[in-house]
Amino acid sequence: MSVWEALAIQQTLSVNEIKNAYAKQLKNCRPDIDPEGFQVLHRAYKEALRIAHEQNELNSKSSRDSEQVYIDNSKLVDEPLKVTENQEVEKTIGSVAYTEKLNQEYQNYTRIITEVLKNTKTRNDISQWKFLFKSDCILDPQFNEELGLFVIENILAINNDFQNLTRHKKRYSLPDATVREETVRYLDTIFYWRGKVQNLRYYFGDDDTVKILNMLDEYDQNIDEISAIKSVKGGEVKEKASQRVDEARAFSEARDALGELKNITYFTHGIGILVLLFSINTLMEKQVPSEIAFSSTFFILFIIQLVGVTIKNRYILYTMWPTSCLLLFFFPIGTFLGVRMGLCLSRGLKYFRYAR
Amino acid sequence: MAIIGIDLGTTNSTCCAWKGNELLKIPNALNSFLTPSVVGIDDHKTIIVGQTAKERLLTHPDKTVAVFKRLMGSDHKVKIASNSYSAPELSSIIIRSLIEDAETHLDEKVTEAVISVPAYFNENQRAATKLAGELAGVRVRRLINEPTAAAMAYGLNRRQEGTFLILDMGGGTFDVSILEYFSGVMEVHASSGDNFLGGEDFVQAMIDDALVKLNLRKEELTSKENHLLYLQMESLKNRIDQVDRETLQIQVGDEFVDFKVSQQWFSTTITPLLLRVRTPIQMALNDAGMHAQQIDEIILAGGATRLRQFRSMVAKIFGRLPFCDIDPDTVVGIGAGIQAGLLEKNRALDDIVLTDVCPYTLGIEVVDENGKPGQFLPIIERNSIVPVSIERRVYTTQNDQKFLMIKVYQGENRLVEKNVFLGFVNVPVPKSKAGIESVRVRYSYDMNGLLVVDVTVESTGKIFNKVIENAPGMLSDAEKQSSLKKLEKLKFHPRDDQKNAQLIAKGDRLYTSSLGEVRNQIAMAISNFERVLEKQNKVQIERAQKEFSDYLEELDKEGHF
Ligand SMILES: Nc1ncnc2c1ncn2[C@@H]1O[C@H](COP(=O)(O)OP(=O)(O)OP(=O)(O)O)[C@@H](O)[C@H]1O
Ligand SMILES: [Mg+2]
Repeated sequence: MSVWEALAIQQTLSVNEIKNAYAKQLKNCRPDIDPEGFQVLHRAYKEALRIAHEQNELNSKSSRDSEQVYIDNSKLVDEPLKVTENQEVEKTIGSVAYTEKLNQEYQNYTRIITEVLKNTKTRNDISQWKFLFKSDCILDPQFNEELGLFVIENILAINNDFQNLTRHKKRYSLPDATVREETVRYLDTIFYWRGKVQNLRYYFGDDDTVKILNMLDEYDQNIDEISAIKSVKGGEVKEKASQRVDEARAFSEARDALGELKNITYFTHGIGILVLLFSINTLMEKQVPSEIAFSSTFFILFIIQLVGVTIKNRYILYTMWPTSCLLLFFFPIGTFLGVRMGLCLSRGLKYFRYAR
Repeated sequence: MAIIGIDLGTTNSTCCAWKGNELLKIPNALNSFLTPSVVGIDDHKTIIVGQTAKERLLTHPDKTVAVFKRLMGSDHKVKIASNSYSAPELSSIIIRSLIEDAETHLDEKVTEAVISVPAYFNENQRAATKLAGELAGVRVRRLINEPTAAAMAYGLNRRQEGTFLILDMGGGTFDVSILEYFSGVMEVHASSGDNFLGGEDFVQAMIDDALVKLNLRKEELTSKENHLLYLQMESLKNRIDQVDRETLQIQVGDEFVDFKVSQQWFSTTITPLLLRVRTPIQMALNDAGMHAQQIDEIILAGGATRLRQFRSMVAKIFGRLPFCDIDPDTVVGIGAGIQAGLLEKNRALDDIVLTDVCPYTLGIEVVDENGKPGQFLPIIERNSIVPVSIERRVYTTQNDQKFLMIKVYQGENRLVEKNVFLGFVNVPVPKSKAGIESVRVRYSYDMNGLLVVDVTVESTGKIFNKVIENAPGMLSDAEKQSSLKKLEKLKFHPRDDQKNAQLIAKGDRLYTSSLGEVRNQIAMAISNFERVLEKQNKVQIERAQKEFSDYLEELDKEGHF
């Protein structure tokens, strides 16, 4: 079905016609009664609008191009935005006095900002920035934007200077040598750089823009929750996690535990290998008979296993399986060695007695 | 059998119905259209709602609670008197009292309701609102977004076509919606908002600043003193335009400290909050693909938009004054009432169709190419028109993987941990090589802004859909039943006695907040009034009510509380 079929009209560039057709069709497939039909119709409607806008744009552009020659110079003079019933606002917002006030405040603010930023003691102190709220100029979008650019430019300068220091110098510099992320994040609530990425790119280039955005990327959801609890009046708020949340949490904990498990595996295997190395070492130096070295190694591994079973620690049990295999494999040899060890001991004991 | 429209606000709730060919605003037992969203328990263990409970916040902070809408969709409970209640339970108490008002006024049974929610409420918060309705014993036919409701009220009132931007700042939430009205179609283009910005935050900012300047901490004040300070600031905020300079006397222990306030101080204090208004406006404009100049009219709803500072901020952004000729407190309720009428297929409304959008991106958690978990895969993009249904396929990532865990999230960050968790389902899949087994995840988002997730295992064809039941703050059927039982047992304060109860509660509050000679006078007036009540003579009571109420009103104005 074509776009126009869905709307049940002939192809048209008239936005009004499209809208009317859509409104008419909509009565037959209301979103709450016929969701699928509605989706189809709505998609057709949007597409038709897009086509119409695109064509109209093209047409008007070509006609504008041809008209260009005749444009009357007088029209290029800045006209006041528009005359509406809201003259009260226009009087204040567009007026010369208002613009003058903004200019004056801008000079004033940039001076204070430079001072606050220059001083390492004040630049990261949030309360020092409160002067920004003193006048309602900060609420003016253009004023706010320009001042924001001024601030971030200076912050970038300070932080980049620091980055360019040698390692040695960096280490011995003061804690407030840079403008900290918290400060930038706080200032972002005033200047809203996050929402003006294109602007930042235009003025500061990609590298610095990324730097700014990285500083802003922290967002703590808990803050909302804390403020929700704080704003409840009366009563006593009790935090109670439901069982299902616990379950969900248990799943993610299990995932973390898996990571932990790996660490423990490395740990126990590490011990096993150390013990083995130790016994080989003693063997080489022939200080202890080989039987004793080997069998005591297995004995230690066996004890670890035993401990695992008795205290029912699943980590030890899980992670010891390679060593248990080893133990099983060497068990016959182990027993044999054990017997030898017994003999050895008795011989040693004999020797001991003999020496006495 | 009637359907009513309910505006369940952070600070105030209202209720409207469509009857015959017109909209009826429904007054409560105290004959007011606004019922404060406050719930309390009185000394006889009966439930009190609204203005009476609000008065008792100062005198009985442990038995009363307000501003609980912000806890919707979380697992927190609030203890009042000796019982704990969840936010949906508390809301259901408010809804129940509104329904009672409607039944008395309409003289018929109310079985269904349309409830308004902030457009920027997430899934958990919406589900909690629906639950609140069910706990109050009505079927929730529709959740309607607050700014959309406001726009309906305006659209119907003026029948003017064009593109509107609605700013709704109430007690606790701020919403922005852009919508277009033409030939009986009301189409929402985009919604955005801030769930933690409203009148209450302005008051909190004032309190915080005052405490800092006075070198005090909140914990150093008793709960009574804290609340007194709150009342002082709230009242100051609402009459700030008439204030030039003034000295507040703030009670700290047995002493009073002076605190100088002025309009300048107020503006400075709330400016950081006002600045937060820009973000959602910008987002909504971007998502709708529009410029500020393309908006024909800016419409205000919600009590906090009465602030001159707010209006001038809006004027600065758009270069013109916003529009507000319907009472901002009830405009959302009116819209909800219209929606209720639409659902009843009322003739007068037959020619209106409403389409809305989903304000958040909805998706699932996936692993990225490097095997790093915690990545967010969007399924429904924000501001898609609803109802909408979209499917995506996800694959196993490990050899012999036995389960595929589908975790549902909502939000705009690329990492799931920074988005809102909505629920999960663990789907068993046949063992196979990594990337062979797959499941289809279908997200369907309906007109209420409620999400349904269906997970189909490709190779076995099995379908799983118990996902959202696992969300935080949601109840299983058994839990719902027990909650219903608990709420059913509650006794409500008798309706015909509410006026008297409210007057006495107000008297108590004024007594607590004043001192010396005035105090004795108030005590005297209260006990006189109580004596008249005991006599149970209707005529006398009415006269005494009037006198007592006038007297208290007078005091209230003088005391600025
Ligand atoms: N004259 C006024 N000046 C400033 N603020 C006011 C004024 N009157 C009311 N408010 C504020 O408006 C808020 C209540 O508005 P409203 O009743 O619209 O909110 P709500 O609908 O309960 O909340 P929400 O829609 O956020 O859930 C309160 O915070 C109140 O302080
Ligand atoms: Mg509201």
